[in-house]
Amino acid sequence: MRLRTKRDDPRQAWSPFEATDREPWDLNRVAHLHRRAGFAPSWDVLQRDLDDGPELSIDRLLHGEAEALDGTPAAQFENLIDSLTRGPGAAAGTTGLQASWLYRMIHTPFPLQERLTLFWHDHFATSIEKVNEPNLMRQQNDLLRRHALGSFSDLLRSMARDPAMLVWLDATASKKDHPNENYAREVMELFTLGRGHYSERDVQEAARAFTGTFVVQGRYRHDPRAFDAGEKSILGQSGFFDGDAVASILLDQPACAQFLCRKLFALLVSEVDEPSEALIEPLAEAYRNSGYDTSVPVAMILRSRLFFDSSIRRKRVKSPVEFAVGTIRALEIVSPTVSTNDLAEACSRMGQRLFAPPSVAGWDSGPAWINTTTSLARSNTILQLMNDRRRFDPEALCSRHGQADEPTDFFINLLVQDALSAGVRERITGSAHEVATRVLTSPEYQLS
Amino acid sequence: MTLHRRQFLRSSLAASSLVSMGGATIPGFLARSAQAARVANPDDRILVVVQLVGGNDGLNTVVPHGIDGYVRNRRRLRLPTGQLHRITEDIGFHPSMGQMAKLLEDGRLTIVQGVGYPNPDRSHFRSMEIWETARTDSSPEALETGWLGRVLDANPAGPGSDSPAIHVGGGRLPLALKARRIEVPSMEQIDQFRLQAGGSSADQDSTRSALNEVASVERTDDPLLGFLRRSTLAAYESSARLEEVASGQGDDSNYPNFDLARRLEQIARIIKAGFGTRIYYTRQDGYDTHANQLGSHAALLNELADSLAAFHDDLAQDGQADRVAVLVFSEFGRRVAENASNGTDHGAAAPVFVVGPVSQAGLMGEHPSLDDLDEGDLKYQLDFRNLYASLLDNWLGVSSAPIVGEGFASLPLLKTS
Repeated sequence: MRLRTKRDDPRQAWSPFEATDREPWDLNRVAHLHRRAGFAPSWDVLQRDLDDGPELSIDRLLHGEAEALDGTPAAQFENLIDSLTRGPGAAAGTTGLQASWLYRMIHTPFPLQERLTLFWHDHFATSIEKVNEPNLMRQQNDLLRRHALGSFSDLLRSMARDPAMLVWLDATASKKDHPNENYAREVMELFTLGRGHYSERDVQEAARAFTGTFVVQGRYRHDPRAFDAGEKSILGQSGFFDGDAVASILLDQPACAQFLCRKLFALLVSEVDEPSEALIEPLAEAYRNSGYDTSVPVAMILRSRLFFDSSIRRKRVKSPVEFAVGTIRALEIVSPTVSTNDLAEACSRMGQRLFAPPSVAGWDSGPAWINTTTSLARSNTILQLMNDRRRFDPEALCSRHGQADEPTDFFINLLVQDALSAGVRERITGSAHEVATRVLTSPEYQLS
Repeated sequence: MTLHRRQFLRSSLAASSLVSMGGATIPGFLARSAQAARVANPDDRILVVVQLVGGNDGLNTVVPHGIDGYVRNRRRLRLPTGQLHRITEDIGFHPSMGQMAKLLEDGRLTIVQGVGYPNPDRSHFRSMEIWETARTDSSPEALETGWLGRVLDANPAGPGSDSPAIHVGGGRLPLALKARRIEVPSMEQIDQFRLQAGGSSADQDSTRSALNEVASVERTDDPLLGFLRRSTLAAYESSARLEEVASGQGDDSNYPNFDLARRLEQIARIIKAGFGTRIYYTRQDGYDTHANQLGSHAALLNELADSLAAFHDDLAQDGQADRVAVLVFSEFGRRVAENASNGTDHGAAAPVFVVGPVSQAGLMGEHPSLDDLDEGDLKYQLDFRNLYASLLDNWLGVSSAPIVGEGFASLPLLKTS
């Protein structure tokens, strides 16, 4: 990738950002930080973090805020939402699960944790379409959230025992005389190494190590009698490996941390620039040295000069969920918030059915989010929101923040900051309602 | 998302920034102009591609019950000979494919046996990439465009004409349709496919023009933003045109109640409405049958056969069946031997179907040997690029060499006179 500065030099790129006259801590940087590491911030959060400076703002994103958006203390909010999801959420099937997760994202005091939970859901993509058991999907979602910013090593090992994953990859009855290759293949191709870093032979051998795995009545079981205890040879190592040993071998491959850090780069830095191996290596090295603590590369990225370089602004396409949740948080449609059942439907129309990714490779992101159908669905989602006067009053939002006379400046500063050229800015005219509609449906607003 | 896919997207963005889209946004994209031809030239032939996603078990679709080795390898998944629909002495259709057998009887179906490519890849995504790009290398350049996308790039539509291709279905745009010069539209439901501006019709018009006004300002500096702008405009324009097609509907449907049938019905509507679109693409998911496949596979094949037959009948009644060829393929077949979960694992060669005015109804080529295998998989008899070449050279009238490469001879698949 070619950046405008010397920042494709890895040492420069990942050194900590410090505000200067040339690169001030301004509204553009605050908003960028929240777009990438959270959802979209409300006006008050933007102003607060503008005053508090980068360090404190980044810390709050990395560890979560003290209170949820509705004022509930963080710990209490988590308990409340957990019980809501376990009870009515899971009982209401797919829509209930989607709606309770969206509700959590809208109110959460810890948006980065939800963004990473969503990231791992895409990485370990599993669909209720095949699993069919809302409770198993909910358990997997809890697992992803528990390790979202924690140990990838624990997450990977837990996945090999996760009933939803095993059902999804048909690994619910893998016996030594007929090992099932599916999980063994995907764990290498999609979860740890990427294509080209393993052979067909490695897949077949690893499949033997995963034998003895069963799911019985929704629970993981290991049956030693069906386990192939013989010697296996995987990625140049030989031994009497089981599934856990395979995970260790995979985590030890240099390709593993590289592969994951490339995905984190796409999540947090850019979807359109291909980072060089040299640029990724410092992140991968820090990740390996920490024993795969995901918060380490994430914090390293968020604190970096590269992250705050203006050249990487809006180099990602907002996913439908980011787009929907961010819009609602930015416009403060919190109490009451929109029907999250309807919002789940809207996200599906925009191309992202939560808990139902299209395949084991997850969603195609970046420009692939956008086609004529999904573009229209985005515009329609905004138009519907703007017509819901009971829940959203744009004039009142401007007034609340003392900007009733300047709706154009207010909505541009809140939603897109420095994104609009003079020519586009000229077209953002009219009442608060018209201005908000034009900004929210603009091509610029689709980017993060 | 795979890194391959990201590479392809990135390189396509880079490429798109080099192509000047001009003020007209999309070349001739469904634009409504006074001169626009409202009825497509009836001589224009149409290709509909149906992709079976997940890897279809060819051996239990076109079943070689009389060939030694089928019974031996399929002890639990063996289909009862008496219930198969006869194709030849030794080969028959799956019991739930009666409608396919009828298409065969009517002389409207060719079954091309043992289709694949050298060094088969057993990853779903990689094998789909190979089929959809018609390239066996995975360089970023190879992943920039799909085989049909290259057809669109080589034959740009004139101003005021219809979109040359449409993807009917949800999810991502198939890589096969990825072109450098245009964004192919995707649609799930014609009825959903409109801008839902609220209020009076005057309000709706002013909302539509406000949105268009913001999107139509030229953005020059950034390829990603340029792409977003073009896609947004394309969406608004095709929405307007397809709405007209939808408003003329009202007759009872003769299609069975399946997702695939509904998507094919949408395609038939657009064809019957006289659109000039020549390439349609849709998918049927669920063929990754690793476990307990008998029931699910039967349901999938039943959906496929009944949907294709209803589509064919619909077009025939409208006098359009001889304009339309349907290609049905999957990214690979399954292993010859069943697995221990009453399913099958990823394999290689499999049959491909062509429905329409075929030159020679019935089987084409030999059934691959069930004894002489390649690591437990069938050896391919015909490279899929020969089929593509036939459809391009003889059916769509597009020179195939620049699209699929040199050295892939055409076969006489379809009647073209």
